Amino acid sequence: MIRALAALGMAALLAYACAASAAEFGTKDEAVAMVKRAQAMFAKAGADATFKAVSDKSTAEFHDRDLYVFVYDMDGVCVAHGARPALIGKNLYDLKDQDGKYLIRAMIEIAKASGSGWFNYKWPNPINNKIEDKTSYVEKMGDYMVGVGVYRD
Amino acid sequence: MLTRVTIRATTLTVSTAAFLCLFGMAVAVYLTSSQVARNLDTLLRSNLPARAAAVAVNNTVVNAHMRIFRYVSWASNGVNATLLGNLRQEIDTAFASVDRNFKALAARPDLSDAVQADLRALQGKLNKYEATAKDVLDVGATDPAMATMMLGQADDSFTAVGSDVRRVLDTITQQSNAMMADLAEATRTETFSISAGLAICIAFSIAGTAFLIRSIVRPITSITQVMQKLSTGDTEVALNSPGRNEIGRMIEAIEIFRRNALEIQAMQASRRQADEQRAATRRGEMNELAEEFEGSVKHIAAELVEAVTVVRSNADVMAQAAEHTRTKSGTTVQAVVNTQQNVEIVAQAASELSHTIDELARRAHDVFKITNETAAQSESASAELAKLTTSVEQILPITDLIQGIAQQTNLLALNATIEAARAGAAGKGFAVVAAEVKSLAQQSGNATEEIAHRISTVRSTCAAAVSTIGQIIAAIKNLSTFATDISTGIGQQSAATAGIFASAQSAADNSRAVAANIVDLNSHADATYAASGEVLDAAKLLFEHTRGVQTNVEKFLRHVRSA
Repeated sequence: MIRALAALGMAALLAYACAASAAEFGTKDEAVAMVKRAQAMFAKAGADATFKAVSDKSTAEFHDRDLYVFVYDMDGVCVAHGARPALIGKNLYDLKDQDGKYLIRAMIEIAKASGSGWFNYKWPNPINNKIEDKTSYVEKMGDYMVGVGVYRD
Repeated sequence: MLTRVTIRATTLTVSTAAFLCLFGMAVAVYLTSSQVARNLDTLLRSNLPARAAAVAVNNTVVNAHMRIFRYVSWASNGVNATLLGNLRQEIDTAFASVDRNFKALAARPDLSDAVQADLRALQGKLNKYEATAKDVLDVGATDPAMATMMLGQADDSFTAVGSDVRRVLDTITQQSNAMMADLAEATRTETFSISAGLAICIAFSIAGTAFLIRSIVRPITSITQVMQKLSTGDTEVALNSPGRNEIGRMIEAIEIFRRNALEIQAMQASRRQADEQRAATRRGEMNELAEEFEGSVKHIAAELVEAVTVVRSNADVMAQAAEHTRTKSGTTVQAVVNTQQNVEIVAQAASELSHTIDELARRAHDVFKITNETAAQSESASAELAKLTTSVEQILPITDLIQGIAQQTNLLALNATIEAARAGAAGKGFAVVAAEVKSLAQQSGNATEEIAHRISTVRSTCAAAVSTIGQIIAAIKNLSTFATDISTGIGQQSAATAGIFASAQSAADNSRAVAANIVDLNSHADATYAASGEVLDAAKLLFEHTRGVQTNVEKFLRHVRSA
């Protein structure tokens, strides 16, 4: 009897969590859309204005829940970052995730080779600073690589 | 050929060869040793310090790296900004010392090209590592999560630096190893050359020794043998092929010795023959002499033995007598000593007695003197008493006079009483005075009578005292006579005691003399005993000698006859 009640409680909690997550995290489509917005601004307002807007957390256009924009040059230097301003100006070409993937290097390669694509890696979530699995969509943007990622699960 | 070379030349040649060998070996050793020393020097001055400098670079990098990790860890766990700032400073200092150590290593003047190439590569890696590390720290100050992500990157750079440092170390080690190998090779060469030199030296010395033995020792040995044989008189020896060196000349000299020896042998042979003839003649004479000698000596010896036997038995008897005497005289000595002791005790007693008697005489004399003094004092007391009696008697007329005065006074008082009664009332006072005077006169008469009575008592007492003193004096005189008698007796006794003492003294002296004589006698008896023992020993010895003489004479005769 008690066990049955406990199981029922757990099921209810789980259902609530799932419902909440649907609203809390951005989706892949939303990520792609944000990249496109960045591309549009880059084409219209130029690199510096775009980078400033992307890095400024008050710009709602580029900041939506756990979604943000990051821009690297082709040498791996971070030029704009929506979540982690400390990284701006740092060369992360050799940065590895916990699985040993050279993630910046790999995303630059995708941008260079096919112009756009998805890439899976691990990255700290800006909401809770926990390192989580992330899938990012990247595109080539002039001499830069621009990307937005979603945290899986 | 060898026999023509002189010994001096031979020895000179051999020793020169040995010296040259040693000199050559010394030169070889010097050359290889100096190469070894050079290599060791390089190793010590250049390779080892370069290695140490590379290790220092590595250590400082490790030091910095550990602090970077600590920084990120602190930042992730919210350690405050001040502590993080301090740690950042420490890390900067660590990097400064990395740079300093690297510069010190790169500035070493003796680095090989390979090491310099390695160092250039390392410089690039170090720069990259420092840049990466600074990025991590910058990010870590505000974004620890990201810095944690970046640690992998820093680690890769660090690993790259580490492997480059290792490569530098490996290159230096390889160079050191090459030098060590050179050293080992040089040491091996040295060992080989020393061994070879030694082998050649040993071979030379063996050859030289063999040569010396062949050319010097062996001929000398054979010469020595020949000379020994010559010295024992064996002239049947020959030395062949005399050379022209010192040994050849020696052999010639020995040949001369040999010939001389042969001549001496011939002379000796002829002399021996003559000697033998003379000896045969003498033996005959000796035999005759022996016969004669035996005849006389044997008889004498037999007699001598007999006489000695008699002497020996007499000596035995004498020794026994002497022993007896000795024992007896010993006993006598003891008796005499006892006697002497007794006599001395008597003498001592007599002496003590004499002392006692002297003391007695002194006391008797004292008594005599005191008695005489007492007698004299008693007589003077008697005289004094007589004087007292006389004085007392002289008082008597005075008492009579006083008596008369008292009677007259009494009469006068009576008269006055009468006259007063006649006067009546006018004479009443006077009658009282007259009665008073009368009473006084009566008292005076009574007193005078008392005095007369006392004087007569004194007189009779004095008379009794005089008579007593007279008796005392008579007694004392008697006592004086006795004392004189005692004194005389004691004098006689003292004389007798002195006589006894003198006699005892004399007896002691005599007995002492007797004891001395007997001790003397005893020592003579001892001497006699010892002498008789000696005589006996001598007799025994004489007997043995006589026996010996007899045996020897017989032996001598046998010998003479057999000669």
